[in-house]
Amino acid sequence: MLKKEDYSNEKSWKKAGIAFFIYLGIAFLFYFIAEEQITYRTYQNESPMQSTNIGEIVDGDRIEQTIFYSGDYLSSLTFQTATYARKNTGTITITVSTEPFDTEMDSDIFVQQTFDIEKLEDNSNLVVKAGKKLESPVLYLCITSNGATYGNAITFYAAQKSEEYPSLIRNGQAEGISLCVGVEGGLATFFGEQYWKIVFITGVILAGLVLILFGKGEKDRLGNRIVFHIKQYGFLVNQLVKRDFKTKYKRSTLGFLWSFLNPLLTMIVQYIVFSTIFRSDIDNFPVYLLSAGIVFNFFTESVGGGLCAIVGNASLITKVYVPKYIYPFSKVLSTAINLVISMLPLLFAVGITGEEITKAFFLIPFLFLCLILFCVGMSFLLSTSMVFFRDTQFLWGIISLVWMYATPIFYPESIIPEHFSFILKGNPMYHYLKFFRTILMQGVSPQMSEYVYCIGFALLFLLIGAKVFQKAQNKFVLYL
Amino acid sequence: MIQVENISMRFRMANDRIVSLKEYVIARLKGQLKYRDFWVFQDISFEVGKGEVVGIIGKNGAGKSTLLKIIAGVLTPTKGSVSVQGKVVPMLELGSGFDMELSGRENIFLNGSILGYGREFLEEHYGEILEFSQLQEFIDMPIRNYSSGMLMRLAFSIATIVKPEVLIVDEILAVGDEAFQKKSKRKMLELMSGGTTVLFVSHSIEQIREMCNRVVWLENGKINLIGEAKKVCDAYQEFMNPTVDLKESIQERTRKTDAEKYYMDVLLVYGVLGEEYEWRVHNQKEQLLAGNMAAAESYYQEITEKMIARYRVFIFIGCPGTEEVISYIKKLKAYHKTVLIDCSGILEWKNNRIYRNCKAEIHGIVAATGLVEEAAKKEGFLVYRNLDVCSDRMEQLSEWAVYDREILPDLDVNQMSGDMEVVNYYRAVKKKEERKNRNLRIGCFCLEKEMVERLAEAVFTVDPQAELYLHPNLQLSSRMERYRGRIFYFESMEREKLPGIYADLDLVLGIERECAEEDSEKRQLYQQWIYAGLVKIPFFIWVSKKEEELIDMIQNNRITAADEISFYQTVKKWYQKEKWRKEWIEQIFSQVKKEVTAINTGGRFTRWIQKQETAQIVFLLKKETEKEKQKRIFTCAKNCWKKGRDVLLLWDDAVGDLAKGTTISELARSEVYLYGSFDRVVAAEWEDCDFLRSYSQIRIRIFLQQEKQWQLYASGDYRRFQRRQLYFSCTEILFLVREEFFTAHSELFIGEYAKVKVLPDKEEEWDRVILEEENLEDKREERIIRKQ
Repeated sequence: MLKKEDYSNEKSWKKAGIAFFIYLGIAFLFYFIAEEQITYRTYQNESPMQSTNIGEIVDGDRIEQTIFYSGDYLSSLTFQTATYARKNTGTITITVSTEPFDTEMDSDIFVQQTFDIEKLEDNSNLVVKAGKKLESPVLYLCITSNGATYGNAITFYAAQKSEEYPSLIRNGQAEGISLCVGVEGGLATFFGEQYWKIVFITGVILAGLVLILFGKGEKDRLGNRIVFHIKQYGFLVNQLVKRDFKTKYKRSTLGFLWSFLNPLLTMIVQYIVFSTIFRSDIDNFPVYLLSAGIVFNFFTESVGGGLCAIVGNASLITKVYVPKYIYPFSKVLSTAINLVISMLPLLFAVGITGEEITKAFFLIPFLFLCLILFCVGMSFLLSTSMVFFRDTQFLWGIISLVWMYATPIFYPESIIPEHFSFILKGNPMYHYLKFFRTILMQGVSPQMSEYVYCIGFALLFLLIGAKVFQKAQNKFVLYL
Repeated sequence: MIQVENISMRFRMANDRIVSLKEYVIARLKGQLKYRDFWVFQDISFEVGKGEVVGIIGKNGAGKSTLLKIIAGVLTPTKGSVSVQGKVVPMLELGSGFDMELSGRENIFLNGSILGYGREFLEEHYGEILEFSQLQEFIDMPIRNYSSGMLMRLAFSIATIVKPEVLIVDEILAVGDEAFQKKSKRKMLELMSGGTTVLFVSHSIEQIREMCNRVVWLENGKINLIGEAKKVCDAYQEFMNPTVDLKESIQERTRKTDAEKYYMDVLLVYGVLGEEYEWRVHNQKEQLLAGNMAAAESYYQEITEKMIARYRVFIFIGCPGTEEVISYIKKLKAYHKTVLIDCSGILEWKNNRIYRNCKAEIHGIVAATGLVEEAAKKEGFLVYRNLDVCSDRMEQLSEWAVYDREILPDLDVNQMSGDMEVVNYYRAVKKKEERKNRNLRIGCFCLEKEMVERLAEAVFTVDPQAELYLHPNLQLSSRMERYRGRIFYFESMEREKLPGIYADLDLVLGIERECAEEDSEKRQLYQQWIYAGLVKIPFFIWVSKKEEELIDMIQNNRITAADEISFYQTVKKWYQKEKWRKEWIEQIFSQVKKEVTAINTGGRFTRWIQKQETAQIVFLLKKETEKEKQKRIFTCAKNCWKKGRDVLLLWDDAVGDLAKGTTISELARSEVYLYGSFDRVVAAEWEDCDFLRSYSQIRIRIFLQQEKQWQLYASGDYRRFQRRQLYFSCTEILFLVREEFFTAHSELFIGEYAKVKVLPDKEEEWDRVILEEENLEDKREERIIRKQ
């Protein structure tokens, strides 16, 4: 049925070259965005259990603490503070150095950060962001205060000293206790070290693949078939998506504004419910909730739509030949438009709650791509099943509900007990959410392992779905 | 372009269609998952070349649409493969993929994309689509507001905008109003002529015939026939509306109902046994026996309950439509028997009282002619042709039936009053047909040399190819030499050969000199021939000084032209006054009597008559005729009839007496067209008229002049006649009654079959009334002549 097309005059070498350079570009961009996560694997020193505090830190105090940290990279240090539940004034300056503070030479200072203690809440953490490569395994901390007086100063939590946690020195005196400091950073990974080599090798392999798949003259090659399908049916998909999108809000007054309003209003309701009735101590709960809501909503909606795509288009399928995968695919795509639109209220919420918009946000398209592939896979699977067993749609209603509860959408993931962690690990949606939230709330790229999870699940489901769909599609007409 | 190779299509039907997972699992576990396989078709192969228009026909469920869907790629065949080169546009159903919420414009793009058109293409042809669909004003309206016609128009316009390489069409030519239908058909034809390969399914065989080059006929999952459109369509139509072969169908039914019994019992039920019916019964019985079927015969009066139980098929031949018979038929229907009626002619069938009263009960008609067959099929009856009635007359009818559509395309059967009329009409048309193929033949009996020469010059100026036939005694001058080869002479002007001579001519100019002299013997003879209808010549110039004669000729359509017709009005008056007709009949009688005598004297005339092909012959039977002579006359008349000539039998009161003799029954059984003045016949004993029931073309006029006669009928004779009258399906009875004798009492016994005409008081006016009646009859004849 394929149209005879001559591919021989297309220069496959040129194609391979273009693919290679695009790939390189992406690799560069990725390195730029997620250098830290590429190079290092998370490694952290837990803070010791707090047992005491070091007393008020007032103007002129100098507290020194030595920390052992064997990571190759330091991203942040977390201090636990207390304000005695009162209003304090002044600032606290934390200096981190890789050399002992024998001299007051600025050149040794690794990181220095000053906090306004007036804004501190009781029992909150002070985070010193470093984001630097670390050479020595020993860090020297120095805490000084400015403008704080007794009765008007904060304190830090501390624990008894041990071998791992040496004693702090307050104004030259060892006090036998050790500051509660959590150190976060990373260990250099092989991937990170060899990033460019790997990028290059993969690039070459990719170019080779392009050469093979898009080889000249042979229309049956996978790549050529894909190109042909895109050429042939791209417009159809475009039209179907348009149709879905147009008809969705047809005859409603607000029209596609609902794409904004819907997640926003849902979030507000959920926020009110969960932050007042079921209190939780999640940072920036609105964003936490909204991000999950949008992603999970997209998942249920697109899979729910894709599920009925074959049955719903029965009249078309029995009349006109169009590759059948187009129906679930276009359904997912049309829902994806909603997903993109609903990013706007999300970004709005991010902005309002004071999160920073960082370069890591450029990674969101990757997440969406994985999500879409995953949903397409699911749609293939379920729409096939739907044709033969119409019970599927009702079952899906239940399953998606269970799925929702098995995914930390409005509760923190920490409430899942350790021995049930497989629920999270094996749940693709959990990984997508985690990925999303890392970007949104921490402003950094997720760990490399998360990338693997995301793309892995997406491809796995897509593959299974496509295989099942392909095997069954010839029988569809008979059951419609 | 399209190769279909050995494709088979199977539909699986689970014993109970399993639609839910639970049922499936349970059935699977129990091992009860059985399927019933249904092969829509098996092992079908054919090829379609580029630019061909191929139609697919077959009954409902033959798999036409499935085949199209497979070729369109919607379905995948269970076995085999289909390969199609080129872009396929399937028009399996128009407008699939329309979204009701979107506007027409948006739907053009949506539907277009589904059909596989690209964006640029659609943008480019958008205007064209719009124009073709004529929906400019509505295009931005959501199509849920469209009428279904508008939707179809839009859909058709989108589907056909492209010039696809392969177009697959499933019954979609009836789109929109008539104007649009025409337009769409034109568009389709345009596509077809433009080298597009078309696959086409339609139930309209006419459409297929018109549009396709080749046709594939699917039947029972196989290709029954594939080939040229006309051939396949004809075969298909024959298959769908078969002329049921009685033998086969009865056998078929027997096999279905009772496998052990190979034959089936047929009872031939007849009411009367004239020669014709006897023959039919005999013939049909023989055919049934030949087909291994038991057949018995019985009078309808003799049918018993036992017989009803015994036989399965009842064929009614010549049964009267009495209450008795009708109740039998209704009973038979209740017993689920097959009832057929036997008809020789269409009018016989339509006037058949059984048919009239038991339309719902009878299953079919055993027809002798194609005409009957056609008409009966139109009314939804089974028609059995195998039991042809093969009497001479029927053979002619069949002959006609063969030609019916070719020669008589405009024949309106309902306009005809009898089968004979149809036959005559056919002959006339056939003759005309023959005349077309030869030169014009002009006869001239005139002996005046100058006149003839003038005439000849005039004729040849008009038509140089004409043939001029002249009197053998005429000597033409030498200047006529140049017409050699165009001028012929009659072999002889002997009296008895004249009818033959006349009949061969297309035009007669002038008559023999002898005849121009009034009251000459020859002239009278000609007149007689003409009046008797023996000579039917389209143009006849009759030279006469007698106005009355001319007018008479014209009046009776004996001739179509005369030289002095201005006397028409005056003569008409005379015509009404004089009882001229009686004289003429007398003359004819006396003339023919002479000829009949000739049989006795040497048989010259007999032989001559039998040799002729076209003449119409008058025979006369008179009371005085000896019985031997009657016999001879009859043999002669019969033979003439068999040769295909119209025989006019004139008789007088002789019949009443003759009926008692043996000869008259022979007379009755011969296939002779009867024409007589029956006033005296009716007065005779009714028993003697039994023979009449063989005829269907009798018109009887009963002329009641005396009260005594009326009383005679009232006493029962007429009633007996009335009962018999049922046998004559076409008989008309007219009572001409003096008013004084017409009472309410009379009305009672006349019944529904006879007409009554009241005669005026004055005896002088009776003739007028009678004439009027006769004119009515004449008008019928006129109609035929006009058609010619």
